Amino acid sequence: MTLEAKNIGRKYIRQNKSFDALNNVNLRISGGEFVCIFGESGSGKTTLLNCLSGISRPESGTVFINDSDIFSLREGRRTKLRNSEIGYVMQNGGLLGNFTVSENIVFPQTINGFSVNEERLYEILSRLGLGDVADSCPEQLSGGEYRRAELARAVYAAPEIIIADEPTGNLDEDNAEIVRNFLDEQYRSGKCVIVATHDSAFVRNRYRFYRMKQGMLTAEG
Amino acid sequence: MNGQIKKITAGRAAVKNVIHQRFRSVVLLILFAVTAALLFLSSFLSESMGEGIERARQRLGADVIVVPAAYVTNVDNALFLGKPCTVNFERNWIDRIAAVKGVSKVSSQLFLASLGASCCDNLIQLIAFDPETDFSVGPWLSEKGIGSISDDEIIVGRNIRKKPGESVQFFGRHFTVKAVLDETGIGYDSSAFITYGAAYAIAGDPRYKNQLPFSGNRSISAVFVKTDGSTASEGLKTAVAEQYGAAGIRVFAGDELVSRFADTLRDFRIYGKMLMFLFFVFAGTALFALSAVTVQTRSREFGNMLTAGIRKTQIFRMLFTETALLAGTGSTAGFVSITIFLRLFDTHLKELFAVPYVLPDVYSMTRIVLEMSAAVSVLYLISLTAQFVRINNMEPVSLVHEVNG
Repeated sequence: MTLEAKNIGRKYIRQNKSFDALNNVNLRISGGEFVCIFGESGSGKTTLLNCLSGISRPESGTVFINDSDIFSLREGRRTKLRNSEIGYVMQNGGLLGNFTVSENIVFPQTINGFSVNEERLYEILSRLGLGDVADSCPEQLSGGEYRRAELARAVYAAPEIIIADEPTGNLDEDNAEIVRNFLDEQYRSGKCVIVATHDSAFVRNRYRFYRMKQGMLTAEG
Repeated sequence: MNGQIKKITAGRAAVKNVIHQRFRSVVLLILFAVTAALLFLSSFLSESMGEGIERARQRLGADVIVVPAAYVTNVDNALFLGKPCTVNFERNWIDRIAAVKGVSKVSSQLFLASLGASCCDNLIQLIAFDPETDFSVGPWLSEKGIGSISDDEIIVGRNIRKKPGESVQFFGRHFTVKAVLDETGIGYDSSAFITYGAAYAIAGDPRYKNQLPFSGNRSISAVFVKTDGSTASEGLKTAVAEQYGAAGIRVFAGDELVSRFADTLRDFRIYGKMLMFLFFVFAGTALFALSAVTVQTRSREFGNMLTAGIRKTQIFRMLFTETALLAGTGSTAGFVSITIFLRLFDTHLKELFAVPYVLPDVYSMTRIVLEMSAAVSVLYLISLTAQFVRINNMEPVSLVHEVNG
């Protein structure tokens, strides 16, 4: 599985001034790679991840999955990609308040006609330390549990590409370590993992690092 | 994890959302219920009155009715609204009217307001009639194979809750119920029919001299006339009025009495429809706005669904089910509550509207319910359209407020 951004650009207007959230960004990631994107707030990291996941259309350039332009697909097909190929944990996403943690995790699959894979669900819940809160509603969760539940939902369908925006943001060190280890496991199992973060603890061997500044992406190592 | 996780479909998700979003659900339920209730009530009353007037037209049977001028209102109320009265009219008017050119048949009825009766809480209108000549009840008796009744037998209207063979007492006399008249929608439903022989026996009883100011067996209350076919009702009415107008009588064409109610019904229908139209526009606007606001407040939820790979068509299907649940439950609640209301206050409504009133038949009821369902469906579609337009125009990221990191 290969994810590739080609010359993508997107502008924003803030206080009547136009600025580049993404300026001709190029990035190619293959299965079994872990990419960390660092950068200050407002540098364009979230916009890049939104474009890579297909929930926001770039104004120039495009995104390919296995050489297929995802923005040439109809919106329904692109959404379906996020149901099977891409697991996306948004920075300011959220769980559905009317469902329990378990229901939140399986809902995107069951609404598409799939049965509940209890073995898979149990494995993810226990791996992320959510077994005790599986039947709780989101409002009953701590911040760390909530973030892990979002991650659980993103990976339940075993997508080949996992994109996470600030997955350890606002988490205490214990919770952050659980998340980092879980993402590392995904990478080691051959998944393609992309993380936008301020968390320097992600700096590990074999990861690829990029820095985002004023909408431009530069490789760091 | 407690037990097995149920497979959550769009329908199950809709049920969960309806249950959890109580305030929104209750507001929408009420809106659908009130709309359905008002639509149903308005159509039902309109249909009941229309049916009542048509039955009254058929049941009255007379082309022309002659009553003493001093008792016009009393006879009118007795005939159409079942308000009991006692009316005294000279019997010789039967022969005088029969002699008018264009008259084919004449009959008469005598109205006596009962004293308290064993059967009923209210006063009952007793009507003496001649089964051989009567146009109103006579044909019905013939249809049922009841040739005549004796002086100790009685025919009761639908609202006098008695069965054939049971006994009822009026003015100290016992009568055996011979038959129960089919529902007419007019005063006959609250009346009881006896022979002239029985009526005159009551009138001759010295105990009731003060209540029944009749002059022996020479009293009647109204003369009912059939034309000979060559003369129209209006023409015969004019002829009788010209000949005897100065003698203290009032002459009505049969249709004329009924058409007064038809005018009331027409006004009721016009105002009812205007009111319903205004309410419908209000309900539609409120529902559209409410749906738009609902989608707005739930945009983050929908954005998260889209991000998690749930398609817009699936979100729409979930909303479709949510709205269908609320519209279906709401309109059923409206329909049931109005049905209960109509059952409980049937008599009061008849008095309130002062118009002949008969419950619609199954065919009409089915039509009313279908019309009501169609109207609620229109509101339902309005609500869905508001939601569909909003959802279809949104990009996932705009729903969860894109934040630049």
